[in-house]
Amino acid sequence: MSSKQSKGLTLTAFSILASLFSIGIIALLAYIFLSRYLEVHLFVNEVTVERNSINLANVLISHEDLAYVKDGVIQRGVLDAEKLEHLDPRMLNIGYPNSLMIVKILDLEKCKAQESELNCDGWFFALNGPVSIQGLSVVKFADCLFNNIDDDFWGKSFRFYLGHILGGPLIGTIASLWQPHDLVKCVHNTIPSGVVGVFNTNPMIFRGLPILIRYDNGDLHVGRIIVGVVEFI
Amino acid sequence: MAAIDFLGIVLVIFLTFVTVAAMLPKLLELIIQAISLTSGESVARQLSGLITISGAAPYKIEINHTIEKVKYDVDIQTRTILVKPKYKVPYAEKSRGIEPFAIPLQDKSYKDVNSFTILKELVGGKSQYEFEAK
Repeated sequence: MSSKQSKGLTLTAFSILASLFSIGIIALLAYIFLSRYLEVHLFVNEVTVERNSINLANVLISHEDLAYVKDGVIQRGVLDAEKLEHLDPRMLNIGYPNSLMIVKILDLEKCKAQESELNCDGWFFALNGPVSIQGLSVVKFADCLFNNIDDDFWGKSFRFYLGHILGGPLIGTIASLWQPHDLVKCVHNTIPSGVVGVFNTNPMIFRGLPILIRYDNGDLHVGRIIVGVVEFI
Repeated sequence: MAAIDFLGIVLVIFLTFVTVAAMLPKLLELIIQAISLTSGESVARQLSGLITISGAAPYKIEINHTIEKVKYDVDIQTRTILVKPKYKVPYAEKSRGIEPFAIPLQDKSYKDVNSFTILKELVGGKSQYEFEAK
């Protein structure tokens, strides 16, 4: 092999190696950038609804229209059963925009024997913030939920309640009123195209925050407030 | 001579590769951290959280929150807060954030602000909220 021929061969091998290194470096840079970029944004998205639910629950347990007042002092975390009986959720004037918020307040000392804690007496109501999405029908959403509720009596009440977003608490046994997957299904089936519904199924939210419930006779019961947020983005 | 040249170039590429691989993650982390802490998305999240959670205080609370070095344009409208940072580098200005909050606030707009005050008071038995920025 002459020197002229071998020079061409060397340049070719160099070109191949240099190209491979270049590709490797570019791939590494792309991997680092994309992995870090995606990590940051996924973290932000996954906690948003959870954070909103917890914040809202914290606001509710110290709200003057829900909390028990003793000697002129609001008892944060102690809800007044009398106030809950006559509550008009619209008067609370609380709620995230373009969202449906469902609040369950359970008396854990009034649960059916040998049943799960969800079979407890309590109150539930819906909060609604300002809505700026065209075509968003809370009534359709409520009807969808109604079709997924096992108990007829409470189901009808629930539909009426949600459909009109009006006040008046409902008290009774809340047994399997809705399940997270029902809400997700209803969001996807009733929300107009182009609007994405997100419902947080994080079990931590469904366990709720611990509260006390004070009755007229002075009894204090251990309870729990659970806030579900359906956010229409 | 050609072989030495080839080895030299390979060595330079290898060293460059090692240096970049070692430094780039740290550099990227610093950049991402600096931008994420002061980004519109982050500040909107901070402010919306503070606004909502101010409602969790019985009676009265005043929350002051200041972000150093960066100024923002802030719009409050229909219980959402839109925060647009004013970075010196133009491409980063796109990192604006919009977040919802759950308590009633008056719609307002602010320009070039980085100091925020959230006030909750119980007036006549009802909660009242105010938001100011400067």
